[in-house]
Amino acid sequence: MLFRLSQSSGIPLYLQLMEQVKHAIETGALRAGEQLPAIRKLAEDLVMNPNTVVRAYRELEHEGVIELRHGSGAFISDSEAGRVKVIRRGQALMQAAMEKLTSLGLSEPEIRRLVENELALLRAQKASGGRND
Amino acid sequence: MTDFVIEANELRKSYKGAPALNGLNLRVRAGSVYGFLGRNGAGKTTTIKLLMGLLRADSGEARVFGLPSDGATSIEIHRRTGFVTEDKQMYPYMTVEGMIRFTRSFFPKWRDDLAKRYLEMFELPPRRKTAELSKGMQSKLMLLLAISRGAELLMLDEPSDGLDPAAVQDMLRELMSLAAAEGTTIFFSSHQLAEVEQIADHICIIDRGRAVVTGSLDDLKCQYQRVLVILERELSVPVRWVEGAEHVRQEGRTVSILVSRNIDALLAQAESLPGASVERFPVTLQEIFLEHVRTH
Amino acid sequence: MLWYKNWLEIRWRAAFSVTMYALQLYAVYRNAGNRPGVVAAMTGAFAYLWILTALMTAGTGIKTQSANLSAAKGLHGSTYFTLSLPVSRSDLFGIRTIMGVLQMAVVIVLANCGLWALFPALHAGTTLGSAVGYGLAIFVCCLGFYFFSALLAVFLDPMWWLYGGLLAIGICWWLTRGVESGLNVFRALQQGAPLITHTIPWPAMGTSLAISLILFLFTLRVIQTREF
Repeated sequence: MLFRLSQSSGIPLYLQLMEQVKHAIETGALRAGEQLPAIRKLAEDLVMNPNTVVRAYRELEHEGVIELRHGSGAFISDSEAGRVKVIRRGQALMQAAMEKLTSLGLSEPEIRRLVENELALLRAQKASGGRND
Repeated sequence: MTDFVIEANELRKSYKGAPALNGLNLRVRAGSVYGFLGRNGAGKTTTIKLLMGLLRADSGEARVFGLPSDGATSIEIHRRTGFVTEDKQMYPYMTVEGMIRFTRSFFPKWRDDLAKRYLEMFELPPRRKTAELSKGMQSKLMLLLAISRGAELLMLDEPSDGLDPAAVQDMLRELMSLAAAEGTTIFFSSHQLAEVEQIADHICIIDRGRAVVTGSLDDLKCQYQRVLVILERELSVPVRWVEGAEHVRQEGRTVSILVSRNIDALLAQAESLPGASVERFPVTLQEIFLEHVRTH
Repeated sequence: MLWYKNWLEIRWRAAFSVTMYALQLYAVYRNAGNRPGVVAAMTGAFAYLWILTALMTAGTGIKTQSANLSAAKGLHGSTYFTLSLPVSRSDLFGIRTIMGVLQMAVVIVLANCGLWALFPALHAGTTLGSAVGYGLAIFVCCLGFYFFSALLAVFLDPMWWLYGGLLAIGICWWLTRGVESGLNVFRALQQGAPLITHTIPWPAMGTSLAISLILFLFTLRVIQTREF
């Protein structure tokens, strides 16, 4: 019910599921300590491959977003409560930036391209070990 | 002993001189949901028939559960596998009930609970003769018979043939439930890319008797990207793109590239072109499929 | 369950054969009355029917096994289903053969006894028991035709199988019409018919059994190596 995956977007399903879990945490739909649906149930409800659900859960555990407790299931990490605060702060910064950009007269696609460019630069910087070109 | 449930090595098969399989290689792990894709006549059904032991390969070998797919071991394979064949025909004079009782007698691991559940879910009329069933109902019945065997492996040839969209989702949901609960390996061939994209974790695209793309679906989707380069002006000399650039299409100032690997090098190369604006997009299974099976 | 399935497939053919015989018997009875010469001739003519029964009973071969006939496809839907079951092809063929042969035996013996009962001129010196025996003898003689038909049914569409089969048998009949020996199966069914001669045609039965064995083994081999 919480999650909606799109087959035709081209983005791997496990990544989409991970994003949706994180999004649910950020919006408060899922809170720290709450349990995620069981793998089997999620696979049935979303009609997706259980192996894919397993992969998403494992990656989320690897990133510290959730905990897999043996025999009980998957739970949102307590540390996520802290993460949510950070994300809320980022959200506030983003809102302010958006207001400024739109007051310049930039359209939505233009703003999106600006964001993606910055992200690409960040990625390139990380890849080249911080060299500035 | 490997943990590959299905294995095919350099399979070759010709019919009356025309090659149907041209060195096919296939490896399916236990517990995976494996989508087998290809155009009509590419060799999908031939492969499944070979694995079923209905055909003999001209050369190469095919194994299921580690056993040779034809000859005496074929029966052991049939004991542990549920099949849905391309032709969904069963005995026309037998009723739905009759088919269930008949099939049940061959499989000691028969699951009455599953048979009953699907009979209700698929709304199959128990006393109707199979000749009087619609195509969709025949598909559903065959699926019921395949799943209720309690098999470790399901080999399904176009299982959604004749099913309406709602029925397709029902079928996929049941298959996923089975995969989650019993760890059944599911090997299915399909034309419906959307279905495959929804449930498969591994795929193989077969074209003209050979496997042209194989691997984990997630990995393939991460690997394959589409890069769109918009140049300031049309280039007089075509660019020699780095390795990984497959299927480059140029129209005026726009270049569209399907990238199979080496994305960073390619992006760097694209961005180095004069006045180029570069964008990248994820790629759908349909794009990967069409790019590999279109006749060039 | 395989036995049951084969029975379901064959039972209408059995009913058809029996009805055919009943009608023939009745026609003969009405026309011939009790005159020995005519009766003997008529009995001989039954040879056609014995052979036809053998042909038809065997004809539920792999090729004809479905409502969905398509010569171009070469094979019919439900066969794929059967072949997906954990049963060897030998078992499938064997069970079908036994059911067909049993049915053929019952029909021929019953019909023969019917003939015996209806025509007292034939009774002389024979009992019902021996009529049954003669019926069995005829049945054995027909086995050769059964297996020939079964072999054809593996390859041919129903139409070709029936007409082609009849034609082939007709040619053999014509070719052997001069052969007087007791080995001649065709003779054993007509002039040498047990009901007429009151003896068991052992040599002809031997010929038939030999041919049956060869054809059976050959057909089995064909089925085992055949591709679908």
